[in-house]
Amino acid sequence: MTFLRVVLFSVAVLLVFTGFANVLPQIQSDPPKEEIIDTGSLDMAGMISLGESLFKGKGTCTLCHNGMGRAPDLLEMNLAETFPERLKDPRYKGVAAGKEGPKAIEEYIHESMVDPSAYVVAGFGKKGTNDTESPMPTINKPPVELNEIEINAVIAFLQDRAGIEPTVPLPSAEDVVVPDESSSEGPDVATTAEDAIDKFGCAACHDLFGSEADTGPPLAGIGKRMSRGDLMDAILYPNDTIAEGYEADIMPQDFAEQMSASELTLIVDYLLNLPE
Amino acid sequence: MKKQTLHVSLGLLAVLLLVLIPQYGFAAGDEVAAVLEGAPKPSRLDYPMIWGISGRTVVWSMAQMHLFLAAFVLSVPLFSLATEFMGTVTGDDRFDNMAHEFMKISMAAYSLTALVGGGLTLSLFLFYPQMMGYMLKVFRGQVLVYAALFGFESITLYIYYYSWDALRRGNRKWFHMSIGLTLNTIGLTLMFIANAWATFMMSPAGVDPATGAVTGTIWEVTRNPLWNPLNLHRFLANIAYGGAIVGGYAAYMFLAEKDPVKKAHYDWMGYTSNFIAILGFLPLPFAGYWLMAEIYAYSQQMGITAMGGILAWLFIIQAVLIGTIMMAANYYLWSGLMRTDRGAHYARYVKYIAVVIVGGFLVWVTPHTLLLTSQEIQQLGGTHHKLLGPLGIMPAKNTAVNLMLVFTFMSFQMFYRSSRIPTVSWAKAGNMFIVALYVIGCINIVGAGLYGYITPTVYKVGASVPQVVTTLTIIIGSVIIDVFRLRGSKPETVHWGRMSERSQYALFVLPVAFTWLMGLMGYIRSSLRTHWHVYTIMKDNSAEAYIPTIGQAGNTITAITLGFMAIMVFVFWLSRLGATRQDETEAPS
Amino acid sequence: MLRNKWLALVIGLAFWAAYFYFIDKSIMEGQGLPVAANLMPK
Ligand code: HEC
Ligand code: HEC
Repeated sequence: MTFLRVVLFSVAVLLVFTGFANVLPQIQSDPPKEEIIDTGSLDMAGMISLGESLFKGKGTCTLCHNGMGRAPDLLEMNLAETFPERLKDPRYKGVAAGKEGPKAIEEYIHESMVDPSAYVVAGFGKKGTNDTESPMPTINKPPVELNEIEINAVIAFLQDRAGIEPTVPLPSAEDVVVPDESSSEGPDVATTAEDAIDKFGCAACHDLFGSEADTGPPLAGIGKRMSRGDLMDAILYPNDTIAEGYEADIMPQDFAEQMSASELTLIVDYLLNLPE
Repeated sequence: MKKQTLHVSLGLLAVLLLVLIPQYGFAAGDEVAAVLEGAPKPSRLDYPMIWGISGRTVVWSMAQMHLFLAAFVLSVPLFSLATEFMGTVTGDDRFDNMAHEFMKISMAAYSLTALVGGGLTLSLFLFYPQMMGYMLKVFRGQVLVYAALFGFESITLYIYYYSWDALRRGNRKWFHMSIGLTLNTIGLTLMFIANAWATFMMSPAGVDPATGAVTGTIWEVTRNPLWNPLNLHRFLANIAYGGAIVGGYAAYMFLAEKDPVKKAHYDWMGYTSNFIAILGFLPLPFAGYWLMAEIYAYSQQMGITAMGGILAWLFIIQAVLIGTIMMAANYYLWSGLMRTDRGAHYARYVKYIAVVIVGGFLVWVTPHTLLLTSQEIQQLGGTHHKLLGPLGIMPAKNTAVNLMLVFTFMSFQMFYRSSRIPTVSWAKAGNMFIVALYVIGCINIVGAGLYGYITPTVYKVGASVPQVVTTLTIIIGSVIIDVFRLRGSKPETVHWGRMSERSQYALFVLPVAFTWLMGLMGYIRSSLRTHWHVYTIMKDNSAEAYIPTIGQAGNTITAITLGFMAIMVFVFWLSRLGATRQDETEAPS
Repeated sequence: MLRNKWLALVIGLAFWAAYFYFIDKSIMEGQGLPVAANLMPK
């Protein structure tokens, strides 16, 4: 009897803990997807969108670069002023020291990513190093491991935010990223535009493949209204601009995380060529 | 007397040798250090698929179960030895009997630990052969040292246990305690070695960062940045854990026994184990703080992933568990006031303490943002700043924790005071001095919390240090004053066994909550590596490289805990079985 | 004097207040965080 009571009591305590764990927000954290970049079709606007999604996703930049004061809040601060100031800072002795202009800023951002300790923004260094060592990880090394194209995309994004015409080179065909074995056989990366649109259920809201859905605006002839970059933006960050007569927050906000870059390009190519 | 010194020095010599052997163990095989091949890069197909079983869950369960058992069997000899020592110093046989009983309980668990450890190794090699191959390459001969030590551990354990009665009195006792010391040294060494494997996977050292090729000695690999913080953390946690489990055992025996003498014995045992558990538990937050600080120092990114990323919610559950543990421990201490006649005098303060503890608990578990819509979560993707919210009110939480610790200590202080009547002339004044310490100390804790609240982030973190120092000052300060105050005090009879049945359930909450908490922390620790087997060195490309949701993790942990509880029931039953037979054979004579 | 408990209380309060003030200040300064008034929100 005592035994039963004790066991029942202990199990009840356990169940309370378990229940609590189950009512909290449930988030599963997947390993970052290996992006497959179809380099031929990426223009500068596409690079900027890609950069933004890398900045907020795989690059883990927003883990630190946010409003919490751990690192300069790159999404909020006035980059147009900040970057030229950094180049003029007498403490700055890096590759772009003494230069100015967009190209120098590109070099500065690049250096910030691949050699963070080359220049440490005052007050943000590792504790006790007197701002000589940066806590920021080297972005082209593990665990983040962005490749050269991805780094350029992030630079383009930041340059764009600083109001500068991006100076990074567009990826050329030779740069095609050889996808990691592990992800290439990932079962669910769509390989045709139709599959990709099916996979993300666009036709449920937009009139595609004759679905006549009208939750979202018709996309026929969208290529005439939108540039490639704007279109990418409309898919990845729907709330940035809202189509007239429609409401925000209806279109899913997480395509940037769900889509591989190849899927995005497939869909964009397809939509651009949709006849009116 | 001479003989005794001889025995002691022989024992110490044995310990010294054992301390040195691991040193060589760590260094073994350095000549072949140049293993220039890098870490393997397995593709998804390199992970064996075995009947569709989730390899990760198997390994997870095995590892966690092994850890539970190992923590238990490592900690019991530790405080068994301490209790034995107490018995020798005080000449009170109760201690010695209890130490012996402690050991009896852990004996049956010992072989099960080894068994599950074998199962863990097997499942690791089955499901993660490439990873294990790499680990073997990195740690080389150390695995053999581990195996050898394990053998020694078994031998010493058996000698220690079975020679108990033979080496019970006089000089021989010292010899016996030397064996116990040896046993504990080996046990801790075993744990430290295993810790090195776990921390290497989190903060690898001694390998080439680009390729993972082994460049350092075994010692360099072992002494990676997180090794020592984890050693300390696990050492303390083991003590608390072992105490909690034995406390549960004593509570059960207390409830099951009818004989008042035996009831008294188990009440006393429950009290002592609970004391040990709390003793190990109180410094744990500080050890945890050190571990977290080292994680930040090693990789800020890993630190933020832990505290601000999706794992932030886990610390809310952790808060709930620790709060549960504190409330249970306090409840038990308050019930204990019934054991003395003076206790009633203190019992009237209990309600105020209860208010602080429960209030602190509530502050602690209130998450900063309860409303997290699925859309917010989706926006998070890689950005976690919304979840950093809880840190925003970190000062409030720190204040709550420190006040809870202070008042838990106060409960304990009331209990030990209730059994002694001070005789020194300045007893009342001394008490007032302590009251002043509490009052000012609490004001200081709250004040530092407020200060942290209104100041920028760096200050928030900075202001938590004075709070911790204040808590420690209150505890240490009042113990010191009380030691003098209670000099030559008249002992009051403690009626062991005069305890409510309900109070014993508090002693069951402790092991259950501890077990689950340890499981949870294991999940957090492993998740910090995200999708890496060896952080930044060897990627996990298996299908199960993701971090499961809290709910999934909670369910798994509960399942493992239930398994562990079943094993413990079996172990206790075994140790009872032995006792039962003995009584029957004794009866006819 | 050591026998008067109220006096002991007053002395205790003063003593511990001074003690904690000193400790807090030195800890904060030791962390490079001087206790300055201008941190207060405006
Ligand atoms: C672990 C935290 C962390 C992560 C992750 C991180 N950074 Fe940083 N970053 C910092 C800190 C701290 C600084 C300021 C110190 C310095 O200059 O190095 C900084 C500085 C910078 C600067 C210079 C800012 C300035 O004001 O001049 C740039 C540009 C930058 N980071 C870009 C990135 C990008 C792009 C990513 C993601 C790919 C990223 N960071 C990821 C912590 C981080
Ligand atoms: C749940 C319904 C829903 C789904 C699914 C959905 N959308 Fe939308 N979409 C909308 C709504 C509503 C709008 C208009 C509001 C806005 O601009 O955000 C919109 C706007 C757009 C626009 C901008 C149109 C314009 O004229 O400005 C594009 C382009 C677009 N969607 C493409 C897609 C693609 C491609 C997919 C699949 C990957 C998709 N949508 C899936 C509901 C949806």
